[in-house]
Amino acid sequence: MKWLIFALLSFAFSALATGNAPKSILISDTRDAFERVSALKSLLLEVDTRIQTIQKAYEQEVAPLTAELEQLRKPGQTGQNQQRKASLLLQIAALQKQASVQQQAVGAANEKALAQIDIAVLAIEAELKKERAADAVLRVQETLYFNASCACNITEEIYQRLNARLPKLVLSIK
Amino acid sequence: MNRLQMLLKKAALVICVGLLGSLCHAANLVLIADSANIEARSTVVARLKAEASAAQLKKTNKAGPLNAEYTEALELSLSDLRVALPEVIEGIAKAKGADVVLEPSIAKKFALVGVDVSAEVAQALDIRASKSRFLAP
Repeated sequence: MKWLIFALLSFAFSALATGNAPKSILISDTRDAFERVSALKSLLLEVDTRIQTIQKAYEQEVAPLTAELEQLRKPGQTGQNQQRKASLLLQIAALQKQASVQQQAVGAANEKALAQIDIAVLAIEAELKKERAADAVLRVQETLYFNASCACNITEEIYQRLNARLPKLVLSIK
Repeated sequence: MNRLQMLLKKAALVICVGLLGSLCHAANLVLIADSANIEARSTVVARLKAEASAAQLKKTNKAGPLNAEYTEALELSLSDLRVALPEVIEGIAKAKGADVVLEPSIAKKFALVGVDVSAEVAQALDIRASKSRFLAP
């Protein structure tokens, strides 16, 4: 009987304690991730390089076609060039579409790579929550204010673990 | 009697262990600030709204809800307050030694309990923005 009372008392007290006690929270502020995460830095550089390469290739291919088109548009040109003009316009449009498709592919690969980073960050946050027996992990965007020097700030830990686990990301373009 | 004493001792032990556990659990001081509630409590916001209504009535002879032009002008007049809000919240959080300030919806989402400082924030905001005036369109 006394053990039953003891168990009930323990249960009541623990319920009271968990219901109203202040909770332990962790906060991550990864707003400067593009400067702090090596994988993001390399990704940004690669995306930029690829977009520039696509743009350059497009400009090089289109330049002679545009120049020819300009010549054909000069006054005094006969109507027999209409077919050539139409053909040039079609070629330019096709090149534009090709460049656009290539850029979209880079964009999609970038999104995929960013999602990988997001997943890694979520995993690290979950680990830290478990390690520190915290009740919740909040993102800085969810707060109106947070004390950056508080022990609850896990940003540095996230960057360290993320850089160790995912030092570089490679774009996989289909 | 002995049994009762034993039981009380055990109960005291449970409470001590529980308290010790909650002390070891690094809890954070959480404050709650409700933006909507702050604006509703602010006397400066109320004054600016009244000034806007009066200005509309004077100019257009129309009472009641603000038209689009005056609503926009009121929003512009309130922008100073909204810009100052994060600083006011930070000041109150620092003064109270709080680690985090949350909107009630976020606190609810994470089942966090905190001290509601909406009234204090509204008061501090009113002091800071006491010179704000409605900027007529």
